[in-house]
Amino acid sequence: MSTITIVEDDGSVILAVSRLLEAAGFHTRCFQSAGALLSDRDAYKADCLVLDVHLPDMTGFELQRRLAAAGSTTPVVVITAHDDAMHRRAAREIGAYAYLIKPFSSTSLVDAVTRAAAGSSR
Amino acid sequence: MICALLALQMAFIIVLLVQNRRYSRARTDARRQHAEITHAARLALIGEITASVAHEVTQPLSAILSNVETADLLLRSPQPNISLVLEILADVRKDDLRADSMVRRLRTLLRKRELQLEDVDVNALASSVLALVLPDAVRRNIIIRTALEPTLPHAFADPVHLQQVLLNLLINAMEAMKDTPTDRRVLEVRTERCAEQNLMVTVLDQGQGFKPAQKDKLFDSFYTTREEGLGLGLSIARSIVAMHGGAIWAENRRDGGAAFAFTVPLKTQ
Repeated sequence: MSTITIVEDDGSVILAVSRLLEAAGFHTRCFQSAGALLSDRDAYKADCLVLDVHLPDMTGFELQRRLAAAGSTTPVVVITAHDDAMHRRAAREIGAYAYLIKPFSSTSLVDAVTRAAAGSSR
Repeated sequence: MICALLALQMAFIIVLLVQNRRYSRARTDARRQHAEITHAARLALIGEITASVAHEVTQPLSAILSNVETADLLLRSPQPNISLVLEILADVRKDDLRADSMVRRLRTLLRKRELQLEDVDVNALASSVLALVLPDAVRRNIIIRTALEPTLPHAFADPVHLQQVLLNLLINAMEAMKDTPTDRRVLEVRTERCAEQNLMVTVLDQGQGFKPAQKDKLFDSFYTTREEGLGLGLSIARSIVAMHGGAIWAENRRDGGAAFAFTVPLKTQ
């Protein structure tokens, strides 16, 4: 079973996304801030990272840059409630598998996570 | 002779009546114009927080969509987990109410209305306005603190216009802290009883404060220290407060930043 790490500050969204991915057959781990993920000893053990852009301590993009700098190759799916050209460009720059604008359909998230996890090298 | 005097008196009365009617119409027009200008300024204020409010409404909508589609998936399985579906339904309801409360707060502020004084719980009003600016405060890394007097008597005020004054002060305070180090960005709102007949609302920031020469101009029309501001917000806030019979003023804080305060009359028993 693939493990998906979700980093999202909104309590309702993280719970809903986690339920959706669990119902689709994934195992999920949830963090409500970048700091919470970075201080977790299993921070790098995931098949896919679902990252919100607006986090309380740093942006999702900055978090991914830090993880990549520390050697993480976990594929990323970016989710955001605030879509703009700058975010789309930043998502491309970090090599995100998908860039999903909230509210997104379950199919788009599950498809993106499935593709990303299948391409994961851990 | 008497007839002439009576006619003169009649004519005088008619002139007075016409004048009175003109004054009355002018007062009504002035009130209406003030309401129009105040409403336009309110729309401009709301424009400044729209992106953050939209973000705050999108979050529960996103959670609702994911939850509903998960419930659909669960119910189609051979042995549906009904307790999980019930849990999901409870969250859908909670998120729906969360989105609705933001929309209601905005809708109240968007209404155009002339001053209508009524019984107002200023602490509840402050909490409601703070909920509107909270997403923007989070985006700007600003911590919000409140010191709302628990036994604060109600005010006799127009709730929509009062919200506008407070919203204006809060947006200004957040803007004033854009160059403040992130660990010092604190916005504080206080409410307290002031003398016998008034209550006072104070908004404190940790920005740069203002120069002594600016103090007398802060509430003037078209005076602004912001690049994109029109300089109407505080002058309209002053006129709203004055129409309530209150006062508004600003002071620099000893430890940096500014404090803007206004008073409104209490509801008479």
